[in-house]
Amino acid sequence: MPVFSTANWTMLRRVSPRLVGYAVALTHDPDLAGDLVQDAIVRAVESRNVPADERAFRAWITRILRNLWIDRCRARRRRADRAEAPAGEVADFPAGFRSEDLILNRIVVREAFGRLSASHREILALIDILGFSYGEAAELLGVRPGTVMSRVSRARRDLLRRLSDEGVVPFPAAARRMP
Amino acid sequence: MTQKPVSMEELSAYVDGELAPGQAARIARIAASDPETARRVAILRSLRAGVAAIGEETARVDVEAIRGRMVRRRNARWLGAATAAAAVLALGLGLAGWQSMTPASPERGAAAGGVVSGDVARMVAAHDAWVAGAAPPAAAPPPDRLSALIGATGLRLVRSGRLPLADGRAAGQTDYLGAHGCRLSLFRAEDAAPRPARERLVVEIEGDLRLASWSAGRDYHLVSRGMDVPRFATIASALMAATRREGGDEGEPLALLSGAHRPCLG
Repeated sequence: MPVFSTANWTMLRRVSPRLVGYAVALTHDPDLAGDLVQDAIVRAVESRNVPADERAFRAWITRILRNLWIDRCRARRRRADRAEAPAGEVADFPAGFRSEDLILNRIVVREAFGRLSASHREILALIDILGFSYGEAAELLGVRPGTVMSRVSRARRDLLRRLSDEGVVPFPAAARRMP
Repeated sequence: MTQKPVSMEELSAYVDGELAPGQAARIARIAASDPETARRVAILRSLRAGVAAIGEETARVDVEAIRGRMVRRRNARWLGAATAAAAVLALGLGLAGWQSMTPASPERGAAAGGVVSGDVARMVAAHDAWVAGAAPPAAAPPPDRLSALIGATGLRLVRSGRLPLADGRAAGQTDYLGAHGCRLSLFRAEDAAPRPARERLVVEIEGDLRLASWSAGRDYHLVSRGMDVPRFATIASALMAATRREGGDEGEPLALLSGAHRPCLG
């Protein structure tokens, strides 16, 4: 018999916005992400073993959502992944890049994020959106924390490269440089 | 002296708070004296904040709406399962009839805290008092045949008492406790029912309250809270069969009850 309690629903309400962010990162489709989160919630509520601790709960429902997505991908024989940029070609921090540009260009960041490979989107979603520690993300992905550290770094470098090379980054800066 | 440059990997872990204190302090010192490192740290922090905002900006999920749909679906599923379980049991035992489970009937629903009224409300209150530990202490009586039947579902007779009814009669109350916290109270009117026996078993569900009533020479009421509905209906059906077969073979209801082991909710 399901044992999803009122406290579990409260935890779910708290984690759901970030869970949606993670789902968007996985699916790259807001509608699909909404469906995926809803299905994960249904699966969670019908579970017989619900973690009582909030951190454990967050990791648990994230794992449910991730497994659902993997199942769907397999079922559809879908390859959503994109080619990752070779690390050697990437300049870490392009010149002229400023943190203010990123703050002003959230939409641009979102667009560039969407062009990342699925694995880069996922690792950044786990760390930046869901707020997982490297250890928690490593456990979820079945890798070592050091691997997570490298992946996060590569994903951010790729994101910065896309923001720079595709000319979308320094929006205000570029505008200022125009005659 | 030239400082060792900070790698992207280190900086990235630094903004995530994942470095050991010594490493983090080293990078903080470098950032304080080197504008380029400080710029990189600021960019990574902004990048992190930009990614963190992605989910909430692009899609939303209404958890409350999902919860409402799931509660309605679950209630409908319980209703169907309990009706089916008890109907199968009734057929198997050749009972006179089975009235499908319904929410508490309107005539009983208004009073007594919006659940039930009259003597049944007293019984629910007596059950709740026992659960809350507010009932007068009483020793468990020697097990009888009904206790033995209920015991087949994993519930143990732990207490008995006597409850005065509105018309001057009284009902015997026996309370049963399960290994996982399930609690069940059986009320048996001490005297024969003053009206024709109730042909059908009536099972009512109101929130977490489970209530079953039937007649077999006298009136019987079974009360529980949070018990798995099919299990409750199975127990009620088997008890009704047993009370109508005084001295008869109880192998059939006993076999059915033996399968009714389910944990209580909450």
